[in-house]
Formats: sequence, structure tokens, C-alpha cells
Amino acid sequence: MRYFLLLILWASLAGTRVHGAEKVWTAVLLATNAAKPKPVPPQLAAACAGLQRILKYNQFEILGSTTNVMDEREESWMVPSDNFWLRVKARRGSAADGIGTYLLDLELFHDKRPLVETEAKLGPSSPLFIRGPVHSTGQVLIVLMVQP
Amino acid sequence: MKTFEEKYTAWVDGRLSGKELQAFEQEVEGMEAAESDRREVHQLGALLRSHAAGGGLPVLEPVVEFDRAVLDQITASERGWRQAPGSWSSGWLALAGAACLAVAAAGYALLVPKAAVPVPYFAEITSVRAADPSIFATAIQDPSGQVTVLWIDGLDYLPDTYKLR
Amino acid sequence: MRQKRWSTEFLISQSAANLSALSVEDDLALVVRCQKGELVAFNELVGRHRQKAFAMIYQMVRNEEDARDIAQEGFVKAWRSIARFRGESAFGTWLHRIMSNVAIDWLRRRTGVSAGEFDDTKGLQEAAAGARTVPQAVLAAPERLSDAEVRERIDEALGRLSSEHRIVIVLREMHGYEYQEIADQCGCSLGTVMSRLFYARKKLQNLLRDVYENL
Repeated sequence: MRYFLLLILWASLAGTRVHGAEKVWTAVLLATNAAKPKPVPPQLAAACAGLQRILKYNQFEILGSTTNVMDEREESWMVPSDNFWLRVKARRGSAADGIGTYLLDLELFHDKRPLVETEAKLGPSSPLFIRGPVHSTGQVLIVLMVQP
Repeated sequence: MKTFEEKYTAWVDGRLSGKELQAFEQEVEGMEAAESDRREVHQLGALLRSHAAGGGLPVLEPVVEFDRAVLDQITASERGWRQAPGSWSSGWLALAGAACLAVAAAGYALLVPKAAVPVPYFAEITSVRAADPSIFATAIQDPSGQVTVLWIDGLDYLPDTYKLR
Repeated sequence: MRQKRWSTEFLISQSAANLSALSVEDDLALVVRCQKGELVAFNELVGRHRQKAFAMIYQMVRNEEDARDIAQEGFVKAWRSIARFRGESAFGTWLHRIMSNVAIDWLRRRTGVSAGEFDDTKGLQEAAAGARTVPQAVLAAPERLSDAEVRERIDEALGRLSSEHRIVIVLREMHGYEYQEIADQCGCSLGTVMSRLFYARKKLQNLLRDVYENL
């Protein structure tokens, strides 16, 4: 019985977290191949293996990052670096979209030039990576993640 | 003992030799007609092969849904396998089942006013508009790695002199 | 502004095709990656082989919807079995066998295709005579058929064969399987395969003689 109560308590706590104030974390990354790769940034730990498979790089460094609190009423600008900006309009997903999901309208700018506009559905801690331009030192990536 | 049909098929396909071939040739009345029939079978085979290789067959479309369905089935079945409790006793299974029901009921009553679907385990991209005709954007998903990448092609290369800040 | 709108989830295969790293890899390299659990690599293989697999299955089951479902089932089976693939044959050949196996199982479930006894002569008017004395075709004035008409005639003729006969014809004539391979796949004897092939060919000769003689 004790276990039931603990489980119910745990479920209640986990559930309340879903409805807390979410933030969007975004960062500009540089992906490279290194003989001795640096440790993976903790924010990317879960996605690292998949990223390595898709992109064929073994090192991911954060060049800059920023965090915004979700505001459904207005669009916001996220400026993780001087070169790359994102215009973000977020709204909470419906029950049909899934608990804790956000629907994002994104526009990516590179040096004030718009590159792409996209609509994406992000669950908590399910990152969206954007493969940007190739730099002489490696591959530029932009990542967005909803943080519960 | 092979039937006549088996021997005839083997002969048509050039699988008879030596004594078997001799015996077959003696058995067949009118080798000329049989030879003519063999040529026909070969013509038929050529026709069927050209049909198989040609563009006359239906095309699998849309491939998006096909690939998605294959991957969904694989990931769903693998999740099922991972969750399969190999060594649990029936008592524990019953207890776990009861606990799940209790949690689900409590969760439903306390937290979820309406039925909700589970959180997607990776990000989904529903649309992309490229700002420039030279830019091409494609979404890549790796469900096993839980990674979604919006892959943009056609961007300018950034040389050494370009400072990433 | 160019607009591209896709459905909820994008083609992994299409997108994977953009990955030059994946595209240049041969099937075997992708198989090795699949054996390490890389679903992305398997998705690339699906993209490379799906149309061929679908076409072969369609030839056997004669229904696009069913062929699609069977091909999906076949790919899932291939993924589950890929750890056992040792590269003794080309991946395409190995996959082909899985697909034909799944299709034969499906036909067996759906139409009761028999592994053993089956009346080969059912519906065959001239086979027995044709076996020894070749049936003489009475041809109308030769008329060259268009490609589309030829396809239609072949489709129609294959559709008139029993499932048992169609399987042996598709595997042997269209895909070059050996008798023994067909027997293994169908779970019947070598003799049964050869006998079915004999009658299936006779039926098709009767149905398609004017087509192949006027090409």
C-alpha cells in the first residue's frame, strides 16, 4: 500500500511539473571532428549519439546560448550568437498534440538575412537541431529545446 | 521417379543431360514439336522478364508514409520488447498492473481533464519555407537516437575570415 | 518565397538521400551499421529496395494495398533478422527472399495456398496435350500491340493463374529463382515446383501466345 501511495505522489508531482512555466533554450553549436573530442555539453548528452550518426561529427561545442521563458501572447527574438537569430512564436499544444508540447513558429536569420521559416512541434526535452552553414572550422548547428 | 511434367520442365530449362536426356528424347513423340514448344517457353520467359524489369508495374507511393510506417512498426515493436518483463513472476505482474491502474486513475482524476496523447519522443517539423530559391530544407529524423535535424542545403560556405561569435 | 509544405513527418528516406555520407555507402556497409542498431542506416536500405520489393510482391498478390502491407511487414522482419545476415549473398537477394517468404505466407493465410497437393490441371484446357503434342495456335492477323497493351495482357494473364502457379512463375521466370529455392520458400517438394512450373507455363502460353509471337 505504501508503494501505491508513493507512486500516486510521484505521479502527482510529475504531473504538476508538466504544467509549470516552460522555457526555450537555444544555442549555436560548432560540430567538428577531433582526435580527442571534448566532453559533450550536458544539454546535448541525450541527443549526442543520434547527432553523431546523422552528422558524422564527434565533437559538439556550444558557441553561444540563450534561454527565453515561453510567452504565448507575443513572438520573441532569441539571440544565441551575434550571427544567428531566431524569431519564435510559441503556443502550447492541445491535448491532441501531447502533454507538454509546444508548437513553435520559427524563423532563422543569419547575419540578419532570413534563411528558413518552419513550424515545429517540440515536446519537453526533445531538441530540434538546424544544420546551418559550413564554416572552415566545422559545421554550424542551431539547437532549440523546450525545458520543463 | 520423375513425372513427365517434371522431366519436361527440366528439359525446357536445360537441366537434363547424359542418360536422362537420352531417355527423355526417346520418350517424347515428335521432338520437333517439343523443340518448337521449348522455344515458345523461352519467348514467354523473355516476355515476362521484360515485364518485370520494365516500367509497367505499379509504383509504390507515397514513399513518405511507407517509410514512416516501417519505422513506426520497428520502433513500436522494439519498445514492446524492451518493456517485456522476462523474469517477473505473475504476482509481481499483477501488482504492477494494479499499481499502473491506480496511477492511471489518479492521474486521470487529478491532472488530465481531457484525454491526452503521449508526448512525442522527438521533435516534429510540420512545415518549412525556404527564404531563398537557392536554399533547400529537409527534415531528418533518427527515432532511435531521438534526434530531429532540419537540414539546410544551399547556404554559403563561411571562410576562415568569418568570425563565429 | 519558395514554399515547401510536407505532412506531419518527413520522409526519412528522402532526407537521408540528401546525406551524401549515407548515399555513397554500399548496402553491406549500411547493413553493418544496422547490426549496431542504427535505424537511420536501415531507413536508407528501405529507400533503396522498397520499389523492387513492392513490385515483386505485387506480381504475386495482384493488389497494391496488400503488396504495400506485405512489403512493410517484410522490412520489419528484415530489421529483426539483420543481425543474422552474414553477407553470403547480396543484401538485395537476402531481402528478396524475406519478401517472397512473407508474401507466400500471406497468400497461404488469405487464399489457402497449399504447400502440398494441388490440382495443377484445374482450369487448364490444353496442358496434357500440349505436353506431348504442342498445341497449335490459331492466330488472327498479326497485330502489333502497344507496350501498354502488352502490360495489360501480361497482368491479366498472371491474374488468371492460381496463386500456386503465379508464385512459381514470378519467382522462376521473373526473378530467376532456382527450383530448390522456390521449393524451400513454398515448403513443397522440388517435383511439385517443376510440375507447377510446367502447368503454369502451359496456361500462360495459351493466354499470351499472340503477344510473344507478335513482338
